Amino acid sequence: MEYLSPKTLASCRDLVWLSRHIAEGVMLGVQHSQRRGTGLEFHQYRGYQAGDSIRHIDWKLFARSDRYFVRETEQESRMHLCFVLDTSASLGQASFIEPSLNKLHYAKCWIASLCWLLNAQGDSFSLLAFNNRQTVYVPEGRGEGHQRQIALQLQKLKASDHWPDPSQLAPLWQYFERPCQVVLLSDFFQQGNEISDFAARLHAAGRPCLPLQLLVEAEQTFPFGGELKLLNPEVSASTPATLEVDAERQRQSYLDAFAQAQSELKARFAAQACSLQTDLIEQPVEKSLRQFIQLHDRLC
Amino acid sequence: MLWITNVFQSPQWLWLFTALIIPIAIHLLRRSNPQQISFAALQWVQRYSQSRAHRPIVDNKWLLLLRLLIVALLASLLAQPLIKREIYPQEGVILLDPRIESSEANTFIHSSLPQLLGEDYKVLWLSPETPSITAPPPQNVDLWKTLTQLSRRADLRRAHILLINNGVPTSHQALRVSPHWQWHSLDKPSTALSPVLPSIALMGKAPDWWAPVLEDWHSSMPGLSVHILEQEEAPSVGQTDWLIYTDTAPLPQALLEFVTSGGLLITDNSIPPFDNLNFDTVDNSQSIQAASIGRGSWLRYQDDWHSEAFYRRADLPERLWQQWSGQDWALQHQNRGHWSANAIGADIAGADLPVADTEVENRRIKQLQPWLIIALLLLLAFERLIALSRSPANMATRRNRVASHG
Repeated sequence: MEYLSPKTLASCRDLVWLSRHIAEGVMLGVQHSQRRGTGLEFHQYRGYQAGDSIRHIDWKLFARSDRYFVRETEQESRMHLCFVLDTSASLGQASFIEPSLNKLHYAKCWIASLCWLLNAQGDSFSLLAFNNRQTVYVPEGRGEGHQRQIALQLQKLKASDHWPDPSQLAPLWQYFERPCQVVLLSDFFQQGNEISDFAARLHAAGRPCLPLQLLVEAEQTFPFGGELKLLNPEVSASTPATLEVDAERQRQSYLDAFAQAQSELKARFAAQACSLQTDLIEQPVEKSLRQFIQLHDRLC
Repeated sequence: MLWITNVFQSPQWLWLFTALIIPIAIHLLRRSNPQQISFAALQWVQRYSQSRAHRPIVDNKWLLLLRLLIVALLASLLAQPLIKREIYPQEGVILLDPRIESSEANTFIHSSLPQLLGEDYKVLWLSPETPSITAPPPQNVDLWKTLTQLSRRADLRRAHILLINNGVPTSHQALRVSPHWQWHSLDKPSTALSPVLPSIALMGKAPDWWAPVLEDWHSSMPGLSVHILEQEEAPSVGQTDWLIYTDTAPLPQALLEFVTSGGLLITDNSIPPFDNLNFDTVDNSQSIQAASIGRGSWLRYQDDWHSEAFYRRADLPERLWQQWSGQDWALQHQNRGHWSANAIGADIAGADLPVADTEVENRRIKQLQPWLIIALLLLLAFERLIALSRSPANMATRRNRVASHG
C-alpha cells in the first residue's frame, strides 16, 4: 500500500476520515495476527440465530446433536489505553520539509488512527492533553461514538505555553486512578527531567507508560546555513527567546549536544523497561504505528 | 603624477578602479538580516553558543574579495601596466662587422682576445637586431647608425667591437658610442675609394673670381674637370654635372632641357625666375634659392656675381663648393664621407659623443597583458565556482524562510 505523504497528512483536516484511512492501512498487515488467540476464551454455546456468522457454528457439536450451536467467546479483560498528549508550544514546531505539517498535527493523526485500531479490538481508551494553561480530558470509553468524540477534541487542540509545573500536574493524577496503559506523546524537550519524571512516576504507580517522541528532521540534522535568528517557541528561564547563530559554525556542537541529550533520554526510559520510540513527523504515520505496535506487542 | 605614466601605458583607464565600489555596494545591499526561524530545540544550540554570533559587515567575504580582484584586474588590464626589468651589461659580447667572415673573426678572437676564451663569450653581428653569429650575416648595415643605436643598449655596454679596417661610411648624425666599448680592427687590404668629383662647365663670360676659385679647387681636388661651353653648344647630362651660366637672359632652351634631364644649373640674379617655378631659399639665406625642374635643379643667386659683396670673402671657394655640392644629391650620395676603424681609436674617439651610463635605460619595459588575461579568466572561473557552490546553502535558508512563514 502507499503511505500518506506528509503533504496529504497536513492538508487533510477531517481527522476521522484520515485516521480511518491510516488505521485500515495498518490493519491490512496486523489485523489477523494480532487478534487471533489473544483475549479469546470459550464462554458458552448458544443456539444459532439468524444473522450469526456461519463461521462461528460449532460443526462437531452439530454432528453430534444435529442442531446448530454457536460458540461464544469472551475477552479476558478489556484493555484501557490512555493517550497523554503534551500540547506545549514546542509541539507546534513545523517540519522544514513540509511547512504545513507540525508535530501536534502528526500526533493527532497518530492518536486518532490508533483509536480506530483499539476500537476494532473493543478496547477502551481515553485522552488527556495538557499544557500549563489548558487541560483537555476525554474519559474512558469505547465504541465509534467515543472515538469520534476523541477525534473532535483532538481537532480543537492547539500547541501553546509549556509543560505544567508539579503543582499544576497534581490534579491530573486523578485521571490515572483506574488501571490503564499510558501512551505518552511529546517531543521530550524538557528543561530538567520533568516529562521523563512524569513517565517514571506513572510507571512506578503501575501505569505502564509507552513513550513516543516526535521530532522534525531538522532537529536531528540541523541542515541550516548562513546567519540565522532562532526563535524559541517555548520560552523559559533557562532558554532565551531568540538566538542569533552562524548555522554552519553551530552545527557540530548542536548535533553533539542533541545526540547526547537523546541518548540520556533513551537510557532513562530503558531503565524503566519501556523503550522510547522516536519518530520524525516527515515519516508516514502508518510506519510509526506499525513500529509502535510491534514494539509494544502487549498493546493490541 | 609622472610615475603613473611610467607604470601604466594607458593611465586614462585608471578611473575604472572606482568601479571597485560596485561589488562592495552590491554585497552591502544584499547583506540580509538573519533569517528568523522557529526552532524548538533551541536549548541545545544555546548550550554551546558561548557568545552571540559575530555578524560580519559583509557576507561571503571571499566572494567579495574575488569580485574586487576581478574588477581591479579588468581596470588594470585596460590601463596596461608595465613592469621594468633590470638589465646588466654582459662582459663577453663581441659585435662583429657583417663584412667580416665568421671564420676570420674566430681566428682573430683566438689570437687577439684570448682572455675571452675561458669565459662564455657571445659573438653577434653588428646590426640593429644583433643576431647571433650562427645566423647569416645581415646585409647593407649602416655601421654608423647601428653603433649609435647600440650605444644605448644596456646589455651591450661592455661589448667588444670588431670592425674591418676599411672605409666605413659616415653619417650626418654624430656617432654615439659607449665609453666602455673595446675597439678592435681587422686589417683587410683594399683600395681606398677615391672621391667622385663633378664635371663642371661654364657657359658665358667667366666672372672675376672664377679663376682663383678654380685654382683653389684644383689644389684641393686634383682631377676636377672644368670646361667652357659655347653659347650655341647644348650641354649633356652625361658629360656635365654642374653648369654655371653667366650669360644674359633669356635662358636658352637647351639649358632647360639639361636641367630637366638631371643637371644642376647655377645662375645669378641676371636670369629672372620663371613664374611657374617654386623657388625655395637654401640654408635659410636670402641670397640663394633653388627650384627643382624635372630631375635636376636650378640654383639661383639673388646677388650679382660681379658685385664685390658677393666675392670679397676668404671662404668663397669652400662656400661655393658647399652650396653647389649641397644641391647635387647624387654626388652627395656617392661621396659620403668614409672613416676607418683605425681612426675610431685615435681621432674619432675624441670627436664622437660617448653615451653616459646615466643616459642608458638599464630597465626593460615588459607588458603584463597575457598574464593579466590568464589571471582574469582564472578568477572568473573561481568566482563562478564559489558562487554556485554556495547556492545549496541559499536553498536551505530559503527553505528556512518558507518554514518560518508557514
